[in-house]
Amino acid sequence: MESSAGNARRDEYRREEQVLAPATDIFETTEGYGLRLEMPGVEKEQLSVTIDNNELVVEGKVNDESPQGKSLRYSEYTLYNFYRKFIIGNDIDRARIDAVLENGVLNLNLHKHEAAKPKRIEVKVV
Amino acid sequence: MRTTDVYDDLYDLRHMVERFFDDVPSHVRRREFPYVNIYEGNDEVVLRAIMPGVGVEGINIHLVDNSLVIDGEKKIDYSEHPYIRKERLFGTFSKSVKLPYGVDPNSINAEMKNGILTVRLARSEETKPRRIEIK
Repeated sequence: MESSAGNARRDEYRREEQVLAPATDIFETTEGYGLRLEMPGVEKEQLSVTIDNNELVVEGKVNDESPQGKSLRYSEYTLYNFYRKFIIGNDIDRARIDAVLENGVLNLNLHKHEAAKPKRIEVKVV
Repeated sequence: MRTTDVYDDLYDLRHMVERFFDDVPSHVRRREFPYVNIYEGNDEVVLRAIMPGVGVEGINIHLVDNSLVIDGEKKIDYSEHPYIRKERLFGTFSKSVKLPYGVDPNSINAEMKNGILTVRLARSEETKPRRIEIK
């Protein structure tokens, strides 16, 4: 599996909108791959995870309005909409992808095809 | 008292170069966590802090004099698995934010939503502007 921040940047120019590639950790388990994407400020309803052939695209919209009747006095951050594309391998089962949003972190679990999982080979004695 | 030396300018230049490389290494600056925005209006301060992956149980908020101190720990959430890509940072953090005026300690209200902490603090009665009667 490989990520493509470069693709995100290219798409960003195409859309003429500034987006942010969410900081991502990727790890492997015997069952598949786990992704943790930091997307603070994104509601479940404004999040989309799509898969098309070997491209996994994650998009999230943020709403960064000032609280009612308040104005910004000091700022260290600006929230942008999130966008990131990943290229996934053929060992991943496209039909079984779980997505959970928790504390602003999107947890994606990609399952490997049964055929791609590690297996124990029985040794027969003849 | 200071004596002037012909090499002073040269030392200043060296000092400038050293400062450029040593004083604020970029990896230290980036460790600042969490980033905050402060909003103000109607005698209320609203502070927002970006802290994805930190649960409510991982944060302590204290009011120390006129500053709000946020500290806690962001715990790694997949330690048992080998990673392929690692871009997120974990560990303990502490941040102190100076407030624009004194706040009422009983009015503080904090909530966490989608990885953003929102703290609301009301201005204390003593620090509100007052009209002075002239006798």
